[in-house]
Amino acid sequence: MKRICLPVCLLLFLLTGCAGDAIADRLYTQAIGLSGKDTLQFTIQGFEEEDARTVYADGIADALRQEEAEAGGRIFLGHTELLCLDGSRTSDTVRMLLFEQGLSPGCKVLYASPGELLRRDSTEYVHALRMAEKNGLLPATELSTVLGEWLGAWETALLPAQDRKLVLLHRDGTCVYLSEEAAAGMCWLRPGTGSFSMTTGAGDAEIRSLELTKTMQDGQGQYHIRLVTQDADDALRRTLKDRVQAECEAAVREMRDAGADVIGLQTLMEAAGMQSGGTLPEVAVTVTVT
Amino acid sequence: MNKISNLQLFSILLLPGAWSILCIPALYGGGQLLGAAAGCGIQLLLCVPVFALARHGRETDFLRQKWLCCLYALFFILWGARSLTLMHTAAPRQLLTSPGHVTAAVLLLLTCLYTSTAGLKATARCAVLMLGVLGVTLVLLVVGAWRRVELSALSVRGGFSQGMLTYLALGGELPAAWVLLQHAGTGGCRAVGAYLLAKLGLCLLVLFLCITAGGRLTSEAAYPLFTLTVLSQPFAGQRADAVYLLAFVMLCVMQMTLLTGVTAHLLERTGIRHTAPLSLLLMLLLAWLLPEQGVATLTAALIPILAGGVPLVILMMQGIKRSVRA
Repeated sequence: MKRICLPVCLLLFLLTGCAGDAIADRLYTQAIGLSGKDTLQFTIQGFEEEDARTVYADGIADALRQEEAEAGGRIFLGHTELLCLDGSRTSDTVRMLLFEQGLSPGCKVLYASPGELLRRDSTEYVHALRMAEKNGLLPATELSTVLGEWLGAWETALLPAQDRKLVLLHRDGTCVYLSEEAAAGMCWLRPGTGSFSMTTGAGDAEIRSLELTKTMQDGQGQYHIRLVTQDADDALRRTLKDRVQAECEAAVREMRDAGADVIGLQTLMEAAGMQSGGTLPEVAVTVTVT
Repeated sequence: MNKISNLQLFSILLLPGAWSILCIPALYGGGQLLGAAAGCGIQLLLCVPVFALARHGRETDFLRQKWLCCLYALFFILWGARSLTLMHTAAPRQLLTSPGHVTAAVLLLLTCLYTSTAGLKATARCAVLMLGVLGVTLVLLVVGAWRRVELSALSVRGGFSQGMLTYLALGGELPAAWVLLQHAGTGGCRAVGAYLLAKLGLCLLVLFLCITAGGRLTSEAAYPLFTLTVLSQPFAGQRADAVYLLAFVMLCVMQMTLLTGVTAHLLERTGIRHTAPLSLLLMLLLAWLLPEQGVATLTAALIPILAGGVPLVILMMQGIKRSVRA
């Protein structure tokens, strides 16, 4: 019996795959960058690395092979926190990275030149993006959301750029920067989580919660934002309401001018049985502050 | 074969059913949920003759007919061939499309061969444990996908008929339920009913998450649940791919084991020996030789006939015999 057990146990151990792989043999990427129209420029940065490596390749598989040869280990993209794009590579490459190479679906996407941005440790960018989302300074954007928007009828995604600007990036690489007011409006129309404070003309307002309801009525998108504030008087509530209303209207206007849908209009249209694509429907925004 | 408990019967039917649900081929719209519910209703109706036979204790009659045994065995072999093809086409990228996939496929088949030779009683015992693994996997899937759920994406428009037909075509365990009911104690019919409802619940949950949490990424994908598992990562510091992969492999093994075990059990009645490896070999051969779409259509057409039609005819014939005798 013992004679049989020993080889069986050995065989089972060998089949686990644990014997052939060690953590030190792997490079866990923190940030990756995609650029280059004809030749792919693939930049990667590992955790706690100050600099990044860039390789030039025909495709993702080729780039990863080259990167692994340079890094001296297997590359694991599953914990990547930041994806940096300059618009020359969009949905097709990103989709391949997500579904074929196991890129983390929750990683933040930033519109910037990877070659410049990833010369420094990307940890601070990642933390800054997360904090800006939490404090209501940037709308929620992550890889799966961005890719979903590129696959939509209007093929345009909302991405944060450097200096807290927002950009509407079409999958063909063309982009439109949003004004400061419209960018602030996007934060109301695509809210993240958490409470935050903000300063208005009538004083500081503490936003306890933000509720967004979206419907499609008579071919028009109806967006209702309900803000719950703490200890705000009537004047402060009125000022806040006017400001949010103006910001949201600016966001909708600039988004429609760019021919983009980044506030979930297509989903509402499909639910209402409307044909998506073509001209964007009108959008009415109402705000209630309590 | 020894008796199996009701919980074992429930588990041994639900796990292969869950595997079919994992491999739902496409999303057609929110109406698919209603279609699945309608499909479950039809399956419950199909089971009424089987329940009636089981209640009167006459169900063993059909196993005395060798040609009926062969007919059911042939169905299970075809269903097994379909499952093997599906395993190959639907498997997550880490399992059968990465380097070393031949090793994975061979190991999977060897495992199926080993478990099928252990017999249905051993399989039924394991099934209860595997039910726990399925439960944990579902909890992880829900936790990971919940924050992505967008209820506005759910609409009842479109997909009713496709949803109903797809659900009906996934009911390959129903004929097996009849065979297994003979070895269950009293209350076996309740276990089959509970399996049908639990499978519907699982299907509705999967469809709901795929539609509301996966958005456009799952709606355009073949085998949307596997796309959803890529998106549903509940832990920040640890990917959950291995759990999903483990569940896929275990459910796949359970599916093949049930089919091989039931086929072997039926073929033994015809006097054939070494039926378990023979059944698996036949499934492999048919999966390799027959066109995928043809097998899928044939099995989908056979399910209502074998699950409801044949038992109904037997029930009616027995009723006529009884009235003639009276």
